[in-house]
Amino acid sequence: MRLFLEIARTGFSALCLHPVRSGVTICVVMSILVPYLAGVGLSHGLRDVGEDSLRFGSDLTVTGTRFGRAVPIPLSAVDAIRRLEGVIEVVPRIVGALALGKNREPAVLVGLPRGRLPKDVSWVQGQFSEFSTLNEFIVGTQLATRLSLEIGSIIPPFYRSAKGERLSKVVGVLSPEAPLWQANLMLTTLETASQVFDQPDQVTCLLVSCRPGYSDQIKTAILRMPALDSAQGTIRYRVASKHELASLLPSGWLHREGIFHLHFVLAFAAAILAVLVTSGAGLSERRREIGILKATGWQTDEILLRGVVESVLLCLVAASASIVVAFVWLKWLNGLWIASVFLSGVDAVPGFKIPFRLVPVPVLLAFVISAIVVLSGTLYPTWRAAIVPPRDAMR
Amino acid sequence: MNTTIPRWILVSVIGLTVTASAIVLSESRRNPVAAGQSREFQQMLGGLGIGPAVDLSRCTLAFDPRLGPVCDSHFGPISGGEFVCPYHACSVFVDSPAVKVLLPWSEVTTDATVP
Repeated sequence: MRLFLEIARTGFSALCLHPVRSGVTICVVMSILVPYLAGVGLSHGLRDVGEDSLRFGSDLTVTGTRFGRAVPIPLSAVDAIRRLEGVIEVVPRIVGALALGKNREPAVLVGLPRGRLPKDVSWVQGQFSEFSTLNEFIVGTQLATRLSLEIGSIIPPFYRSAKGERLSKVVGVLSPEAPLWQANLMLTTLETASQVFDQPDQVTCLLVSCRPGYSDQIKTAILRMPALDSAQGTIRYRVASKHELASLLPSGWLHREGIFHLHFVLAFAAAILAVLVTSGAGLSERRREIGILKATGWQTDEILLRGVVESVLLCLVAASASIVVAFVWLKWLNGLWIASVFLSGVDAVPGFKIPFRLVPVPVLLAFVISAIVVLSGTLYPTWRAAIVPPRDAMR
Repeated sequence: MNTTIPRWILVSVIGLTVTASAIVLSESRRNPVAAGQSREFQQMLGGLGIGPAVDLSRCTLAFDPRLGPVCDSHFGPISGGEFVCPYHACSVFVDSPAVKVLLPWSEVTTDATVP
C-alpha cells in the first residue's frame, strides 16, 4: 500500500515536470467542457422557466385554425366557452408580432384585459394610468435597450388602423429578472392591442381556467362545439391542454439534449487526438523519462499507475476550472456572447437575466468525459513507451 | 525521481475542486426570487413562452407552441424542409413531440386522450 502511495505521489509531482504539456492538456479539455457546461446549464435554466410557463399558465389555450394555421378567434366565442360546465374563467388575449424602429426590431405585442395587467409587482417598473388618451405600453428590457426607450418615452404612430393612429407612451419597463420571453415584449390593454393590429372584436387566443378534474372534459366539449363562422370562412377550434404539454415536453427536451450531447461526443473524440499529441506521442522527453524509470527498476504497471494518477489530476483540474469558468460566464458575465449562440434573437450582450442551472449530473458527466479524454490521450503513449526496452526508450 | 509536491500546486488543486463543488451545490437549486417572479409573470400573462425564441419574427413554434402549431419556415414537402428554420436545425431546446398534440386533426381523428 505504501508503495502504491509513493507511486501516486510521483504522479502528482509529474504534473510539474512538463508544465507546458500539463497546461496545454488542461486548456484542450477546458475548451470543450466550458461550452458544453454552459449549453447544458442554459438548457436546464430554460427548462425551469418553460415548466413555470406551463404550471402557472392557463389550463387550456384555445385558438382558431384555418388550413391548419393559427388565425384570430372572434370574441363571441368567450361567452360560449364560459357557459361550459367546470369553466372558472375565460380570458381573451392578443399575442402578435410587430417590427419597430428604423432597424425593424422585432417585438411581441401582448394585449390583456385591463384588470389582468400588472400593478405593484416587483418585475415591472411603472404602471398603467387609469385614464389616458395615449396608447400605453410596458416594454421588455431588450426592446427598451434597442430602441432607447425609458419610462415616459413617446413613440410616434407605428401602425395603421381604421380608427386612426395615436401616439404611444412607455409607462413601464419590465425587470431583467423576469423570464426571457419579456425581452421583446410590449404589454398593453386588449383594446389598444386590438387597435394596433386593426382587428376589432378578435383575439389570438382564449385562456381557459378550469375547476380541478374538468380540463379534459372541457377540452372535448370545446372541440365538439360548432365551428365559428366569420366573413373569411369557417374557423375551427384548437385546444392545447397544459397537462398534455407537460407530459410531452420532457421527452422533447431529452431528445434535443441527446443531439446536443452527440455533437459534443464528436468534439471530445477530437480532443483525445489533441491530448495524444500533447501528452506523449509528440513528446520525446516523456518517452526518455519512462525509459529512465524502467532502467532504474520500475515495472510497466507502476509506470501506468503513475500515468493514471497524473491524468486524473489533470482532468480534475480541467473539470473544476471549467465549472468555475462556466459559472463566471453565465452568472457574472450573464452569458456574454454564448447566450446568443444558444438562444437565437438574443444580443451578444443579453438585455435580460439569462436562466441557467448547473446541475450535478452533467457536471459529473463532464468530469468522467474529461477523464476519458485525458486517460485515452495519456495512457496509450505511456504504455507504448513502457513496453519497449529502456535502451530504445531513452534513445 | 523527485517526489516532492510543490505546496502551491496542492493548494491550488484542492482549492479549485472545493470551489467547483460549492458552485455546483449552490447553483443546482433555483434562485427563489427568480422563481417567484417567473410564477407571477406567467400567472399574469396566462403562460407565455416555452421555447428558445424571444420573439415571433421567425418561428412561432419556437416561441410558444400553444400560439401556433406550425412553423412558418416549415417547407414540409421539400426534403429536409423542416430544417430550414434555424430553430429546428437541431437546436438544443426546441421540442417537436409537443407539436403533435397541438395539431387540430390529431384531436379529431383520435378517439382516446393523447397520453
